[in-house]
Amino acid sequence: MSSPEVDSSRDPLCLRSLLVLTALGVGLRLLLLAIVGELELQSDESNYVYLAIAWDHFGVYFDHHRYLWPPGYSWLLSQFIHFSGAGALLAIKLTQVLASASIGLSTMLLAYRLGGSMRAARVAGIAWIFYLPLAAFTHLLWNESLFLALYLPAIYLCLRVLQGDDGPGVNRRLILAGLLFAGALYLKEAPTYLVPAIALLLIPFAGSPLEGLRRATLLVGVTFVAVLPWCLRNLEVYGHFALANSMGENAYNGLNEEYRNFDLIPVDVQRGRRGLSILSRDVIRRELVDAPPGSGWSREERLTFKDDELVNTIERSQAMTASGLAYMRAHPGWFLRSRIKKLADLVTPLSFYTRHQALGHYDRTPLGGPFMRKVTSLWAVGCVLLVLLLGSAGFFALPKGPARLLLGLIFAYTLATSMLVAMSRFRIPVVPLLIACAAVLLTRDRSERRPLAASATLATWTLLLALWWVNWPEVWTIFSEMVWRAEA
Amino acid sequence: MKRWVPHLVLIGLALLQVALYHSRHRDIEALREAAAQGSPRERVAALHILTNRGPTPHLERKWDRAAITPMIGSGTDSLEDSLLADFAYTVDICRMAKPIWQDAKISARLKGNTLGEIKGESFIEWLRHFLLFRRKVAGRHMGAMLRLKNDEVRWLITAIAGDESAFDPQTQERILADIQQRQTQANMSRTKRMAPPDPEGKRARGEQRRSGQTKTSTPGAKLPGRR
Repeated sequence: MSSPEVDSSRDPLCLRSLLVLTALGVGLRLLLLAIVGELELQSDESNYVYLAIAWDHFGVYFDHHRYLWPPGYSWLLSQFIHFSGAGALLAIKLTQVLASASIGLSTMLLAYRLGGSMRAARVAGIAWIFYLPLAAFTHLLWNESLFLALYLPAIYLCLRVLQGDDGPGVNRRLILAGLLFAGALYLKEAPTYLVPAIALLLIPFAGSPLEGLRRATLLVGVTFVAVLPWCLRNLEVYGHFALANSMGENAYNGLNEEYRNFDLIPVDVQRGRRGLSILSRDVIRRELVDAPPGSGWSREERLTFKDDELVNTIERSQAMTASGLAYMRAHPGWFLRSRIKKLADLVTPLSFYTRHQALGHYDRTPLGGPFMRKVTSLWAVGCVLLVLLLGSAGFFALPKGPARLLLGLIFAYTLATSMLVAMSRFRIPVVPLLIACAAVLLTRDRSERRPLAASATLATWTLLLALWWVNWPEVWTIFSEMVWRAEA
Repeated sequence: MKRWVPHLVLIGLALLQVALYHSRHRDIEALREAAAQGSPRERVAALHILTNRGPTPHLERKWDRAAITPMIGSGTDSLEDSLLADFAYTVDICRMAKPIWQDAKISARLKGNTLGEIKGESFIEWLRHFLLFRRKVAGRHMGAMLRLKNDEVRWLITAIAGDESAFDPQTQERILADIQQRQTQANMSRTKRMAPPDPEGKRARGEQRRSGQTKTSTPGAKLPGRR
């Protein structure tokens, strides 16, 4: 395959304007942090903090008993705790705000690469600045912001190599991309198999098979060598060579009788307290998720030494993965049906921002008053809907070539990995890419006619509308009863 | 050939790491020795591996629980041993067997509602143990209950730093009251969730749903785990 050059001579890159937009985006996130202040810890946030405190205190990194998370986020927090005590939580949020500069800049550079124009880059930058669900993560203790700050530049560098940016810089770009991917993997294990998949994609666009092989192995090799110390640590501690392991728990949650969506679970707990209907039981379209009653399986929770067996987190996870796969094979009809709901959960108009507004986490902040809660929640939903619609259309509007293949691969990978457990947070890795695609769509030359792209867009929009219809009952209920509540 | 130099460097780095791993790898006997004799940090590090390493062909499948309990159960006042005493409340030790004695020690102060020393354990030590035990990242069967809140993060960090001045008697009273209140609320909420379903209520909810109404109270609703 040939490697088409990007025609950027028509519109040279103006880094200064991109830096101005980046600074605006960082400023807005800083303002949000100042407005919101210290939110009470929620769910995984507490877990990260506990693991960090324990790491600082004992000098060892515990597992979750059900999960073995990658250590990056808790390690960074533990360093902040070590040096600034209880100020660590604010310090890491400030770090996230600063790291979001990398997200903004990468999004704009991706749009520039995809669309070949500075207009596309600027539109992407403006969209990134005001994309509230993404901005909100900078003041939450979830690792999405830091993850994206490493993951997106890695993808951008791979795109440059794929688009034929040859010369002596290729090695440098691939090594840097590998290191960035490794950094991202220390935060989230989700892209573990994406890196080799991208490496394979490099082969046909390298000019010769041997050069392709060289580039692919360089990318994978750098990533592997950079995560090897932690894998060897796990080999020493658990007797298993692994970076992290949460597959078993995800299988328990996603390949089991009971339907679980982590966007809804805390909402249901709160609704139970408020005396409202339980969404996952009374409101959602149960016909998509109902499994044969009594068919579910239990968590592998054996304590060590029971039956004279030392079963650690990785082994429990492996046992649960096997149980989940067995359940899937035993109920193929349910599996296919329930994956429609998983897909709907992935593209739900909800986001963590609206979920937290519905739960009242922002109630003690200026964003949580009745007016701001409603306006900003509508804003957040609008962001999601627009970016999903325009981003998907923008993707199909891209010319054939390595860029479309790379993005298609990432979208397909994200969809596939979300088929076990899906929620709004799991689509975050593709949101900046969708923003870039949307920007390309809005700024492209409209004289070009691409009937196939139009058909694909129509099909995707129909699918999106159908999936939003699937989730309409719970989304509407959350909005009408929780976001739209009158009291603060 | 020059273009393959980075690959050779990577292979070298990988081999170096594997060699380092093998040179620092400790078998069960070495770990037992370190767990019994090293500095508190070294003992914790060794215990961490001993309590986690799974069965592999060259490793023993069992570790003697009786050997671990005396190592961590002393709970003396010295800072060094207090690290081991704290470790007894973590997921590594609690998953060895049902954490009955940890539970009893933690509950004693809550039941007694006292700030004084209990069996040689000061309030600050108890607070550290309580938060490490009850707010740990693990399941309920290992003593975990609820997650850390901002205030608790501050207490825990301060308690670990050993800053006793941060906990004057009034502050201690407030902390104990806060913890008890949160515990009571959690117990009430749990009792409500775990109560047997009300068949009448269930039927009524079904009818409401069919008629398009969704708002209803849900006593006894069993909810899935939180995240």
